[in-house]
Amino acid sequence: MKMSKNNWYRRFLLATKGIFLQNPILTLGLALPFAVVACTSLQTAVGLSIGALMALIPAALLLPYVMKWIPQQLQWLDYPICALLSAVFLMPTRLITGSLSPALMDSVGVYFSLFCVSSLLFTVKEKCKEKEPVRALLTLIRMWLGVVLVLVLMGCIREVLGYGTIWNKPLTFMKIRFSGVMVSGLGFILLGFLAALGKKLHRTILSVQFWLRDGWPKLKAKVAGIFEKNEKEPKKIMDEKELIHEEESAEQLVEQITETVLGKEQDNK
Amino acid sequence: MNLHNLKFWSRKGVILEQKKEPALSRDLQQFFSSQPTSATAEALKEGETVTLERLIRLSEEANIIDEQDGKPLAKILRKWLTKPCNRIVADAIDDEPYVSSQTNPMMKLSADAAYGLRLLQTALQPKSAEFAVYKEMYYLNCRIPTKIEEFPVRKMGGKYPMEKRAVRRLGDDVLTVGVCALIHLARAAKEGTVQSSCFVTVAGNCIGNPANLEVTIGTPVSALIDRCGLITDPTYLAIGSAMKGIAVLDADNTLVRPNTNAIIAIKESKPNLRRMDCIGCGRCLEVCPEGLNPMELYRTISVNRRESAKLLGMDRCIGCAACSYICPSRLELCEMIQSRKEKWNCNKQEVKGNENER
Amino acid sequence: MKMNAKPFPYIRAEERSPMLMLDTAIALIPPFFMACFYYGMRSLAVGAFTVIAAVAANWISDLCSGRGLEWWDASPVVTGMIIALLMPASVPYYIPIIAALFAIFVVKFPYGGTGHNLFNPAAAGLAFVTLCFGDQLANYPIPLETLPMTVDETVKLTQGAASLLKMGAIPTISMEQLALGNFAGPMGTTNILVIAACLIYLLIRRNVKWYVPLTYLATISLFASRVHHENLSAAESIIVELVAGSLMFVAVYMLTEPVTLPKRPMGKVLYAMTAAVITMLFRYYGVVLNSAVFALLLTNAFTPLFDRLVEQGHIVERSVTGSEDE
Repeated sequence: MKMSKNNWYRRFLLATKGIFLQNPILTLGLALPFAVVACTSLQTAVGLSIGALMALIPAALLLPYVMKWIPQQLQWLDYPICALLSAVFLMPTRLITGSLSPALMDSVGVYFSLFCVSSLLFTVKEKCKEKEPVRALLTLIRMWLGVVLVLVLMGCIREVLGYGTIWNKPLTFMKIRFSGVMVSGLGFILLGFLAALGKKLHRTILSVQFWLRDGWPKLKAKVAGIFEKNEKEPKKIMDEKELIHEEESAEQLVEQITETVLGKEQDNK
Repeated sequence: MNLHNLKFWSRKGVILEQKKEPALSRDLQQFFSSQPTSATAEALKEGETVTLERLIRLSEEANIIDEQDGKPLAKILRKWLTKPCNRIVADAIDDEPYVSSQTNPMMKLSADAAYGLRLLQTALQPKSAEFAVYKEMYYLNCRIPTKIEEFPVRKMGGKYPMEKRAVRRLGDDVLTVGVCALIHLARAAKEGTVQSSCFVTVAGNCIGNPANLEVTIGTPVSALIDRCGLITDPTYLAIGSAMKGIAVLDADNTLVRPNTNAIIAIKESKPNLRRMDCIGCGRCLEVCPEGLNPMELYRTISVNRRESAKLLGMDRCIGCAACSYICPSRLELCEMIQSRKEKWNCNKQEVKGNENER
Repeated sequence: MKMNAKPFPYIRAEERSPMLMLDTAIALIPPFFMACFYYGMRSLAVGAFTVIAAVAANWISDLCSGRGLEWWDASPVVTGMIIALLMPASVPYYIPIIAALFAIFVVKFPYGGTGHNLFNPAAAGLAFVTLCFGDQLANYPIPLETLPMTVDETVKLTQGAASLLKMGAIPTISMEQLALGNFAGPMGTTNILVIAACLIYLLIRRNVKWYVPLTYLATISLFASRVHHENLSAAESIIVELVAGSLMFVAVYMLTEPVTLPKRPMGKVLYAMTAAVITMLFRYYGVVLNSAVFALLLTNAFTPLFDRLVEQGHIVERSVTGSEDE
């Protein structure tokens, strides 16, 4: 299947690399416990995204400057130092959000702080290692948005199915409560279906593009062909020569008839 | 006790309905299509001592071919010049449905068959010599004799596929010869005729007069079918046997060879069966005579996993098609395994059993 | 003459795949008759809705997977009937329908459809609804009382026998009532004699291997005769364990499903023994209601392991002895 490399779709996917193309949760499989176990409502999803952001910022922006002071043999210390830095950032965030909305922090629980030791942090650190600050920030924002997208989707679906509410406001049309969706097993299943949905969406867009390139012109030609044929038939007018020929043949016929009639009369006579 | 193979529960093989009548009881008819060749072999004279070298020369001159695998009889006998022989078994086992091209000549031309076996007996001096017949044939119109002249007729039982396993079971010091080769050997010894004919069963469920025929080698298949008559158009025309044979596409140009045991015309009642995918019922495992796992082999071969297939024992498959027979989803299991065997060079190495060497 | 080219063999056995699944569906009809006798037309309505939901879900997933509509495939019918028979007759209609949809869309379709599922879809559907609506499945109506089509508060509901056993009590049911199934329980699982008759039918039709239910029930009887309430004798304890709950039903219909069983005989025996051990552990120490169904679901995860072990044994034997001919 060949498409041009400068396709608008491909450019869009590469521009938003962490959100759709290489989503950290759906494609790379990082930070799974947060999506599967902890993210059971929209409030929890928002709380988790705040925690993720606060944990990822030091890894992307501050760590290169810190590592410059560490000698060459001890470069493997970047993993614990990264964790420490994000913990240092997370502590005040936890206190501040706890005082702003205690309900949110209650629903999130310990998972807020767990971001400082998750695989998501270390992957972002590796990706932002060699880049300038602006590029690193953009990479960070893209990956964070990918995480937020999945968390919000999961939280919304599980809350609507499980409790029938959205941000603690009840919905009227949900009468059945599937309270089992909170269990992490079904969370895994839901995550799998989301990944499949994403892949199906990607394939659909690709196949629509191919159809637009190959199939639509064929369809247009076919439809136009049908219309042209229909126009030709009523336009079939007899040529002038045929008309003249017909008139002549009519005269000949008249002559033949008169001859036979006259001939009979003569015979009769 | 072998914990992974409960032998007393697993009786490998599949029971086939042996529709051997009416071809089995009818007389052997001759259907020669051309003049036999004018070449002759040197017949045995009165009072000549029968040695193995003499028999080998006789079968070379008479061009006798054993009908089981198409090998010349001389080549088979040459191997026994140095090996000691304890027993000779004349193989008249027909374990496939419709086919009776070894049992019928044994019964109708029994004098020739016994004479041939006697010749071999005097040449090789074994402890015993006998005929072997398939036991699980029921609803017959005639009785299989228990003795032919002085040789006993031994009935060997088992589910299909049986012939190969029986030959393997007999052991290393047993010579198995096909009955039709013995008949040709007897004729060559008495009159010096060269083998120019072979015995073929024409049967099937859309043949009008199924019969065993003695046919000149090289007759086209369509002549035989016209001789026996068709009731309806067949769906498949196969030579060899119904289970392992080869489909015939052009009946006018396919010729009869010495190891064509049968020509079978079958009409399937529902030819366009809708096929489902493998449902995992496990019936193919129960019937495989080698104890392989056709279901797993099918799944491994479809995704081209060569090493896994070899580990599962793909080289041991004897191509009996019992798994394809019993599959309720009508999958082509045996054909897939056999076709990949050639491609991936998995043919079984020559082991010290006498199944590949005779 | 027109000839067709086709690989060998040219004769085939008469059995075909759709007939295999139809046999199981036919063997599930007698429990429905008994349920109708005890609980009225509502049981048939529940069964009909579940089967329709399962069949529709299967058709949709067939279309989505690009395999084409296989309307002769009877396996969703079997799934729907099994789910319906494991429910109490007074269950609201949406619960078995949700179970059937979950079973087909989540457990069967993503793994490859018919013949390729890893877990028993009916068991998984029941697990889902027990998780979500567990309290509505715990109470059963009393048999031989009229049950209206729409169930409201006027219907009396009692606890089943299995939960009484779990709490340490002995169900006060006489022997003849146990044999006839005249006690409160899931719709299709209380009638032991009918299920035994269906087992004989399936054995004759060769859908079911005889040693699989035998091993399962024998292991359970072994456990039940050793550990029992002090007021019951060993034999009574065995009978009570076998009758209370969905054990016989699971042993006949769900344990013997050909797709999730290991393929070699030794593998099947190991599988049945493991399922029995886990069932009894759930009954003694677990909190869940349908312990046989959940134990079966757990044992389904062990099937590839048993397959692999027994196959390795065969490979080793073949390489050592050179042949497996008996």
